[in-house]
Amino acid sequence: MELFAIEPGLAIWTWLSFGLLFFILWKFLLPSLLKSIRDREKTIAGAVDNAREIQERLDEIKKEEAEILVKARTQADKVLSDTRKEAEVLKSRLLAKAEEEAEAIVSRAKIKAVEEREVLLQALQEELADFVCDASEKVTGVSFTSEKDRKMVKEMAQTL
Amino acid sequence: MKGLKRRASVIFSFLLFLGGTSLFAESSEVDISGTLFHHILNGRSLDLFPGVPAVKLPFGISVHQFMLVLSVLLILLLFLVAARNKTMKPKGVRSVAESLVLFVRDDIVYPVMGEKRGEKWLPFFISMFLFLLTVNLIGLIPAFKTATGNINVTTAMAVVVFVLTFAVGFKELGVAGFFKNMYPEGVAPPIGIFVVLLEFIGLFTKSIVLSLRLFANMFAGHLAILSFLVLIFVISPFFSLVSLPFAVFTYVLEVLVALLQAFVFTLLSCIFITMASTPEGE
Repeated sequence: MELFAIEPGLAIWTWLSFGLLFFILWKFLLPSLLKSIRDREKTIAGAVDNAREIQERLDEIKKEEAEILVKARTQADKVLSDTRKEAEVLKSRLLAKAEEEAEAIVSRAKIKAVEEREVLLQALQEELADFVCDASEKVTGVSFTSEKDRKMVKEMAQTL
Repeated sequence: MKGLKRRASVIFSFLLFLGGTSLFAESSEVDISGTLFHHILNGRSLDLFPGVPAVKLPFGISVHQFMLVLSVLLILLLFLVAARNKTMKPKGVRSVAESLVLFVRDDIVYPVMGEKRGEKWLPFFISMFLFLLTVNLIGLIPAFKTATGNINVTTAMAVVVFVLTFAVGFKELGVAGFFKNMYPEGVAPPIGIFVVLLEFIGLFTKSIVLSLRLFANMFAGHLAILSFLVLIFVISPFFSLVSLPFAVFTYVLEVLVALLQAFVFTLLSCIFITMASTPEGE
């Protein structure tokens, strides 16, 4: 049958064609192509490794950044709370001092008021003594100008 | 764009119909099977266009021989053009050549042989895959013939694999080691010898099957396409409405089969050679 006809020439032709193709590809065309593919793969692999390293470094930096941020926040909180405490202490100290000063001012004012009252009272008593002496002199016609009379009137006024 | 595509498909179908009609214009007078086989089997002349006298090939070479040479030239042309473009980012022909090489390397040779051994065998299997693929595909061009649809071509390729299986096996394991490798460990001698015999017969049958598979697939595919077209003349011209879409579908399927068969042949060759030269248990 023609379908299964044996053609040795065609078989030899097949070997020759395939052999020639294999030889030319193997010796001349494939080495450079395979080398360029390998070189590119190496370059890509190198770039991928590089990118991975950069990514890892980036992750580390991000981790460090997060740690630093947490640390900074803790420190800031501590500083803030310390400052608050100090402020509280200072405030209470200042308040106490102000209260003390105010009390001192008030007591000083009180003493001064008492002293001024004393002075005023003394002046009033002298005025009253003078007035009583003058009035008695006009009524009785007797002069009460001596130091002794004045002292007596003054003592009387002090008993009031 | 959609309208253009529809118009193109209508024109394509019409041309296919015209081609088919003139191709089998004499079919009503001559025997159908003779016409069918004439378009598939080997010959000394090429029927380029229907109605145009057949072109007789020079030096008395057959059409299948011409197809083999044409395939080799096409592959070499592809790689010569690809070799010119040496950029980091391949494009065009270079990209096609690299894709084919990488396909053979990453999907056939390296997974079976491993990287170290595969490196040495890579040019051989790239050549084999490209050779078979091109011969398979070239037959799908109208007026051309598929050389792999000829049992002599596929057998010649299978013989290459068969010889290499023995040669590499003898070289790697030694003649005694090669046959000892077939003997299963821990089996009684009568059974062991029987297994060796079976394995030895298996080496032949594997190669025969390798040859037949490729031949049958390529031959049957073309026969199916032509049979659908012949039905138009056997049944009625109006049957072209049914048989033409089937023929186009089978044609598209044949492209896939051409690729698949080249892949299967190369993969099995790679497996056979590796198995014959690898010690049992490795």
